[in-house]
Amino acid sequence: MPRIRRKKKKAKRLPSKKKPCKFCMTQIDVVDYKNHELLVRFVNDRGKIAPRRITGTCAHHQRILVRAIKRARYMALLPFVREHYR
Amino acid sequence: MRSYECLYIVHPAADTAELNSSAQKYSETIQGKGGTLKQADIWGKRALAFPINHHTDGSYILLRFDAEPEAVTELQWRLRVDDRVLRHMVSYEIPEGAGRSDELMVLTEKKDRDRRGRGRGRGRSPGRFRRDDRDRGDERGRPDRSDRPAGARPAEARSGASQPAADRPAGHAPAAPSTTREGGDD
Repeated sequence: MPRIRRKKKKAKRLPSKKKPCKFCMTQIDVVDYKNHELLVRFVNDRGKIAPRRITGTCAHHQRILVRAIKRARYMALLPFVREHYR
Repeated sequence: MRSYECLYIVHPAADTAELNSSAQKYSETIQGKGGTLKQADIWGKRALAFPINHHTDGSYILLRFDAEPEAVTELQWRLRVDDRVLRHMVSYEIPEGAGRSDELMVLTEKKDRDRRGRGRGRGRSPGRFRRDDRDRGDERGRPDRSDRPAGARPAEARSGASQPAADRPAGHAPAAPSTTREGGDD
């Protein structure tokens, strides 16, 4: 039997409200790699760095943050991957 | 002169005396090259986020100092040679307390809690799949099918096709090996 193709209805999405960058809000321009209590909040439970669309961090601060996270990982303050996940 | 800081991890078996002498030793390396030590902070033993050389713990020491680049190369070389040092990193100094604010901690904390409560898809509408949600952990091989008996699938198919054929007179046998449903209609 020939398959009848129906046009898919596109779900309407409301334009999302832009999240504020928390570093801009608090006027912080340095991210310390030793401050792992802060850094874990920008990493998901697998240890991956959270994308900007989730955290709302601006491009400028995301770059600074990512550098700090990577330094913290090298110094074993943060995991590269959580092996015992699951 | 630039301001640097050096964080390094010492072997977990090192006691307080060894940590003190280690901090002392590397401070002297810096001072010997014309640098000035500003702070030597011994954090003490803490768990590593992942094992380094099969050690799950390590003692952290932080040195803050002003020095010429030559002093840094000398320090790095000595740290690399020392086998009691598991890992080290020299970076430009981040002044004490810089980038730390209670306000920021409150901001990040609160948002995270809110999201966590809402189940799947942290903070966005449920059911919307994004590549980041994908669980990469299972991609390492074929799914485990040990719960099914070996060759279960082919055996089922065979029995389904053979049964109607057995009921039927021998003359109709050639028609049987199609699908089960067609055999029943005849």
